[in-house]
Amino acid sequence: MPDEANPLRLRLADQTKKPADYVHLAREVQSGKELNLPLLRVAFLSTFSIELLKPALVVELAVRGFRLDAFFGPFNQFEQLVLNPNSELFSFDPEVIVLAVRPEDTHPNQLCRLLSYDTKERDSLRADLANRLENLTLTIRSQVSSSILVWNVAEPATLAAACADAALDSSEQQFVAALNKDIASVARGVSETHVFDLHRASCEIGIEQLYDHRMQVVAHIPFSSVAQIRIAREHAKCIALLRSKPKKCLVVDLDNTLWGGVVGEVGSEGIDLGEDYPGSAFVSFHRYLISLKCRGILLAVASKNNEPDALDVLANHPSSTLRPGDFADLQIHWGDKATSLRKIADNLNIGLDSLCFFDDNPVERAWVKAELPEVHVFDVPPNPMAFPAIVESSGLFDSLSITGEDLNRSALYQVEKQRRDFQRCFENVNDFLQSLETVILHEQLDRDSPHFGRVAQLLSRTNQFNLTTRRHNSADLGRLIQNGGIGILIWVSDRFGSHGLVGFALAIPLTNSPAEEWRIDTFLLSCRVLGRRIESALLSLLVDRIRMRSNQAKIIGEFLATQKNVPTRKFYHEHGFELIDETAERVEYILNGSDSPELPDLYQIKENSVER
Amino acid sequence: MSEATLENRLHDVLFKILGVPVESITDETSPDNTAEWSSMAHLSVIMAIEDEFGIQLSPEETMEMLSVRLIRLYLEETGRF
Repeated sequence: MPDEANPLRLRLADQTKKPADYVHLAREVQSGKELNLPLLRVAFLSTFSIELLKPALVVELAVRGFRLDAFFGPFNQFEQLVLNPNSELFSFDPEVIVLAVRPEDTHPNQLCRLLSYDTKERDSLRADLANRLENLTLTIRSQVSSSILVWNVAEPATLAAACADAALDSSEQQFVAALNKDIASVARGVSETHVFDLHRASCEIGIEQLYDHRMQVVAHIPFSSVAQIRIAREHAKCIALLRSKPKKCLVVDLDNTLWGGVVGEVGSEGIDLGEDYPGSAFVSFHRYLISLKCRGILLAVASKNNEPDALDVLANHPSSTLRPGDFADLQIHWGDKATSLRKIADNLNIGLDSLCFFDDNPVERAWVKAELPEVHVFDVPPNPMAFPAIVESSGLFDSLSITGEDLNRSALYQVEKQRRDFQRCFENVNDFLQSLETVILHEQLDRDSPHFGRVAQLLSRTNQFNLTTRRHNSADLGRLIQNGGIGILIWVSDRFGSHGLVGFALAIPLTNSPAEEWRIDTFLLSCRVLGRRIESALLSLLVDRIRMRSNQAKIIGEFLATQKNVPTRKFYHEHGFELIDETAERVEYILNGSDSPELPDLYQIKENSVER
Repeated sequence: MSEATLENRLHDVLFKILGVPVESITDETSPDNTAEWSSMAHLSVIMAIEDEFGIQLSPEETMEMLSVRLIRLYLEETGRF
């Protein structure tokens, strides 16, 4: 925001504001001189003097980016205002109408007798209150399309039956609970109508702090000044939510975010995740994230890690409440996190501005902030105990209503979810990989191939699983093939769909060498299929093709270090090549004449039928 | 705390609530001579004074504090400021 440093904005954000400051600040905000905020017309209809909340409403709405234009119906005249289509209420043309109807005001003489009422009388009192609200909202809806916020009911200031109330059939608390259920159903039944949850707000404020009996008897305002400010803030939150777009996806890091320690260093057994502190704090965070997921927020992972190590924790760690299937997308590799976030947004088909990023590492946070200003980056405190509160208090995932679609959001991302859920059924990674029913299609790159452009693109984009990071363009590639090079392309698909062209390897015969020697010039695999041992198949295919040309060929494999390809350093070593030479920047291996890399039994390999 | 400070604090509260220049606030300032001191503003004045000085006024006191002098004398008489 351009005017973040505006002095008035800073004073609005000050957490130590006193009641007098609210009045003072509200006057400045309303002058409209300093802040260029959009006006929002809100009408308040109440059974008490709600106008006293105005300064706090003005300030709290300004904090959230709106300038309040308020209409306060004279208290206890809301029905006249609503029933008359030509009333001041409708000529005000409100965008939001707040119905603050308190049963203590509308039915005081019945409520004080509640304990003596039989079931029928209690039900009839409740129906009277709920029907009144329903009629009000329906009448408003028949006139205008304003959003409506209906107050529910706070706990009573005192209970006539005191500690016996909770067990009574005619309990006042249970009456409130039942009435609130009725109010919820009124709100659900009228479009664009939401509950203003005074009940929850009053619990958070505390019943003892909520009421000011003196103000009630002097001025018909039942709430203490502390409560007035808090209620105003809750209103401002709700009203702002009517205008805001909630974030859709929380992207979390793994090491020191979902567990303590670095799994790549200490192993799955060594991380902090479990019953004892600090592991217990991480478990709490897992549970909090599950609750976010259950209300329709997508979870994703962006972690720099070896994918199998990290997945092993998520899939198998006994204290990991989060399982791979809880994440709509997992970006676990050594690529940079801005790229991971872009991929997540892309895979989930949501905007980057729908993402929030939670990572304990300040360097990663700074990087993402700089690269992707539209992503909200949480300021993560050092203690994991505070993680849930940071997300919760941001309000970024809040919405006024949650639909069935929200609750079933994961179904919308079924392909991803299926694949992840599926993984949970398997004891080990190999079982999982086999169950994917992966098919690898391969094709040798020949002079007339239509794929040169795509291959060059893959070369230019692949950073992580790229042994040499040589960025040949399609003309270079054409020349290398022309001169006898062997290029292998692979496409991968599985039971969940196709991943497209994902891998390429290129070997070049060394002409000046006395023996038959080949050098692997390029070997790369798209990050989309990492962790599935596809690279073993690609290497095997390449070696086979070379051996078809010259069956005793020695094959030299090179690793050229970059910032991003470190995890591939031992690739040739793991596939039966012998080390010849090693420096920090370059490692050279050789595969002798008769050796062949092992081919895991994890997929079907088929040659692509080329019809040209 | 000195009397001047009490008076300054009181005047600051009234300045913030009423929105009148702080120099214009005297002992004589009251709802009768100050249009901004409406009955609604009076409730804000009371709540702000209670918050500032950590006191709780009775309904009668709430309704009687109808000038700066009356509020000042009340605060002085409680002897705590």
